[in-house]
Amino acid sequence: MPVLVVPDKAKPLNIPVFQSRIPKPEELVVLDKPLLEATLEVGNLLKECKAKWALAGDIGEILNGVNVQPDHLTILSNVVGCEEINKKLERFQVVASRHVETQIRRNAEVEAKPLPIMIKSYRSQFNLSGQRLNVHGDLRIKVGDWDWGDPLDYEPEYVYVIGVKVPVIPLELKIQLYRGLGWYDRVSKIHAAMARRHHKIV
Amino acid sequence: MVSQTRREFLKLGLAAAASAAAASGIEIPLLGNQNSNLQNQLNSANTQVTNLKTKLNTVTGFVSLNISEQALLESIVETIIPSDSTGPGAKEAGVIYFIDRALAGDYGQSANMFMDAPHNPPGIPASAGPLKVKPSSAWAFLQNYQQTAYLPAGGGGGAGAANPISYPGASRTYTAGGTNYTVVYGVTASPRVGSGINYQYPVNMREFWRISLAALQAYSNKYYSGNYQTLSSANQLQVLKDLWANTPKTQTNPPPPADDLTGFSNILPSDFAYELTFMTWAGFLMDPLYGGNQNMVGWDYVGFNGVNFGNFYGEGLDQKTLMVASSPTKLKPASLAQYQQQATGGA
Amino acid sequence: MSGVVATELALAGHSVVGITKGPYWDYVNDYSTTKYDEWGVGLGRKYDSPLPLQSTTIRNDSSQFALPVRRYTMPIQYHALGHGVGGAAQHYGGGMGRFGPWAYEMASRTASAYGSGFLASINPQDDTHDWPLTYAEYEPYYVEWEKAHGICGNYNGSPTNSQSDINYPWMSQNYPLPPHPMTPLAQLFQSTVQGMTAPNGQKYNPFPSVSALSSQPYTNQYGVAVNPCVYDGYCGGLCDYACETGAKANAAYRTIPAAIKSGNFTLVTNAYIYRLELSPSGNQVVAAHYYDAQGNDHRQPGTVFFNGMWGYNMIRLMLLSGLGTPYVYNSGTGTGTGTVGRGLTNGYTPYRGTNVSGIVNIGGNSYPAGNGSGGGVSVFDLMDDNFSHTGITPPFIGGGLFGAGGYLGGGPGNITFAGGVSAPNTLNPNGAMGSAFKATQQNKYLPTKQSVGATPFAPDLPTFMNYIDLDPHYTDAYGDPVSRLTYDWTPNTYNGATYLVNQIKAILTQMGATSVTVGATVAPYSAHNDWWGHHLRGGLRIGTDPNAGTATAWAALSGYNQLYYNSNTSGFNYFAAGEITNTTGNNATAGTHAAGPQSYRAAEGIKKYLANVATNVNYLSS
Repeated sequence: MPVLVVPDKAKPLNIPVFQSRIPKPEELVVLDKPLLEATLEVGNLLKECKAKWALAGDIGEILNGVNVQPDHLTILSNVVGCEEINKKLERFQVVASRHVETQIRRNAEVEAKPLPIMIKSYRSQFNLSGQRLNVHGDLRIKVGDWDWGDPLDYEPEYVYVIGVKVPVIPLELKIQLYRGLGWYDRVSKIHAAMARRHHKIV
Repeated sequence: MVSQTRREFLKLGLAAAASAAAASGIEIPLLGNQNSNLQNQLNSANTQVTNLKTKLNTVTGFVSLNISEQALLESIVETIIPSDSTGPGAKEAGVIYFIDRALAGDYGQSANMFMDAPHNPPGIPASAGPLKVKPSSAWAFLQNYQQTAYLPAGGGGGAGAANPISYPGASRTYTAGGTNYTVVYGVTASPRVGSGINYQYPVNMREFWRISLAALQAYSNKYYSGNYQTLSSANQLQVLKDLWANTPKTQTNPPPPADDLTGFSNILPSDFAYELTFMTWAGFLMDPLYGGNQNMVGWDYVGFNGVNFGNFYGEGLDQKTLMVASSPTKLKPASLAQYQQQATGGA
Repeated sequence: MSGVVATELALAGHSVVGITKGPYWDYVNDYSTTKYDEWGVGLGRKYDSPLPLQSTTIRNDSSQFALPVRRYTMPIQYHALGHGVGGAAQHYGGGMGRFGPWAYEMASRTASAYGSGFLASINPQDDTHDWPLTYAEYEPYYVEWEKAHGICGNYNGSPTNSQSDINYPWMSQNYPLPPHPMTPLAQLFQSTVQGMTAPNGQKYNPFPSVSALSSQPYTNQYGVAVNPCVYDGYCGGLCDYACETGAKANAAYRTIPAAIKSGNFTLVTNAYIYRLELSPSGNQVVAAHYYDAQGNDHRQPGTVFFNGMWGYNMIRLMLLSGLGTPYVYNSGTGTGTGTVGRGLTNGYTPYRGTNVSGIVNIGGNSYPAGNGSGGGVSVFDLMDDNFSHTGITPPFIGGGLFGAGGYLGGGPGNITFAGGVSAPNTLNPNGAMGSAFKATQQNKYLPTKQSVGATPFAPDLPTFMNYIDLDPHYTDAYGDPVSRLTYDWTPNTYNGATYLVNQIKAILTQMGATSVTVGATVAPYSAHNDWWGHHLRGGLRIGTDPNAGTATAWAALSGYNQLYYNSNTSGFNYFAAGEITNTTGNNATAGTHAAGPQSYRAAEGIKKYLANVATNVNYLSS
């Protein structure tokens, strides 16, 4: 078929054109594939888990629409739950459960003073096709020279990951936590996510 | 503002034919032939002042309608949605301001309309003969085989010829379930009132309204012996029903030439009746940002919530409960302006 | 549809350019504080395709002059909606639902069950053909598409959910998200039909209405995070609002973010594609031509092209570019030749027909609360060949989906096109004017009773008479002819009405509805299609018979191994489900659901092709 003759076109006038803003990659909340698959695997294997558990850390947030980039998985549970999880994820386990106390990399900012943050928990570690998973039982936090806090407790919220329902730490709790630690950048990330979710602009 | 004041008086029957321009203030005429209760009149007048002050705080004044159109249209919209015992009407909602703003803006400019020729407005009498239409400039750019393809065989034009297509259309017989049905297609095949192909006039909306309002007034004077706004309520409604029934079309004698767009010679009165009715209801029920539905009286009347999703005024209700209710809950409506203020952290 | 293709290919490492005629809406900023605006958004359609840019002409019959759509009114002319990333799916009410197995083999199964002349006895100009793939072959692609978009529901009405349910869409996996909360009316409907026997001798098997509006926080297989619906009610219905939380599934919120994040995807917006350039030999597409917002001309070359433009535009671009054989109708013989533009069908209620309704004493909130496709329950038992059509007169095939109970406030418009501004009639002697009519509007958003019912119709089957071509009289802003639709109702749709009405009447009676009334029957051809706000389908059908269809089984245009296409209109013989709706109808847009798998087929086909050649892909959207 011959190609259609293209006429010499006039530029159109007065046609409304909306400004278009293509989002930049860093604005988009997209979870990397390997971590997504690891999440799915965990979610499936822990479906029948009787103990309370939830995805925590950055992975728990991104599944709720927060713009963070996790590079590993975190689960929060209690000591009993850890035993059950260890059994269910046995074949991926690389470090058996033991009581661990460490300082985390980032400090708290309280009244403009940096304070070290210690956490202790009954912790085990796993490797799912190269993706790291830390499971913490009865996680407690200590800021500076204050007393240790009680084990973090929560009522999980649920999100769906391609059809698998998984529990996550509620965003409200994370906000309280970050406020307490003075991590206001993290607070505003969650606020932004909540705003997007409830059709309000920030 | 003066004429606005005057109309208020006329409506409430307090002023007789006052021809002198009243600068401001309240005329309290003495009704010469009965025991007028002066105190009652004073009370009414005071109420009037209060109402006027309220009204002046909202949107008043016109940017598009001229003086004769204002008076006429005000009567029309108040006929369509009267203020009555069930509640406020077009007047309280400020419907006329909605229409005025719309006519001055995109709606009147037909900004988002396709206005290219050829135009085939309905109602051209069959005696005018088939309308010959020249193909558009695009025709020349089609290859011959495409021109052939795009003219239906037997549908007028013939293969390969850039011939005009005439209308109205032919008739066709279908068989279904053993029965023959013969159907005559008109050009528009009974478009639903208001459908996107209903408006086929070569003028923009503002012009359409200008011509049609004048035509309506002429019709009112010729067949009801007076300006529309002076007619009885019953006749005012009847005039509008006449438009819907296209009655004015049969009453121009002799009919003007086909390309003369004055009067209802080439505008279907029912098209204008649709526009009037549609825009009146729009003026009653659209967001107050556009000049109508003032103080959300329209939403209040129909029970609409605007942008109140259950907790705008702290009611503590939420969508998930409201959407599965088995009995209704009336919410106080909220407007876009209020919503935007709240959303951006304003008042 | 383009989102899937672009994302699948970008994630596979190919370099992809997407060109679309509208903008990339910044949902939060563009919509959050302005979308609740019926005048500007619902009626003015300010977020849609501007009419001065491009319109379309429509007529019922090839003997008529096709009139252009000159303004947007109620009901919406749907061609307005394909504008911007996400296309028409920014706007729809999100009603979904799979087609059943029968739909894919409609012609052959009808012939074997009712005789080879049966279709012709319904419409002598019938043009129905089977799809090139069966439901079973499409099934895995349905699953992928449903996962990508986060479809909510609980199966699709199949009683045993096994392949032996040959008349039901059995599912290898359930929908990835649970359904939205049910309304009281939906619960009544559900419990009623669970105790009733359907024409196929089994009990009705109700299922929650399937929705593309996410019911929970969700992450799809591309890792894209999705917000759940907030039920603000400005969703579908009469005005089709966009969604500022992203709960409404479309490319902008489900697939494109992953494409952008991959780094392999470039998006060009506000770009008006006007031609596909062919190679000198004429059997390869070598470039796409488009104008930017300032009217400057651009040429984008590529190795493979995917045309995912909305509706008529997809077909129009093929015609303008000289691709495929244009369809030409011969009214004398009642047949046609060629394929591009052939087989236009409709997927929505012919608003005039036989109807049935009743009143139930369940009230509700009819102002915005809820969404456009949740809350209700449907049955698939009156669809397809789930009852014997032998001996029913007038004859028809297929059936309809019947449901009830969708959220009353899932997209209400204040200016209702039918009830608001009608002319004086027997019901309202003064039309929409005067005190008597005004009183009917008082508290109309606070009903204490509801009307339930439907205007049912059987599938709209393809016919030679209904098609798309280029208009010889009107052009777009750049001087190219606009699309012209020639369409009117076909016999099958009407012929099914009476039978279906009687089934629904039985259900309404059993529900305890009062004043159950069956309306007068409208004879075929006495009411013409003038409601152009419905869901037209067809025009570039898939099929392996080159005389009837234009695409290979991998969604490539016949004769062109590197031009693929899919959209809401393509690939359809018909809208398999005759639409039965009540005041809160759903499933009108289920055609989108059925078109979805085809996008995955296209992506797979393109990957196969590219496995042998270079790595550039262009996809074109509206």
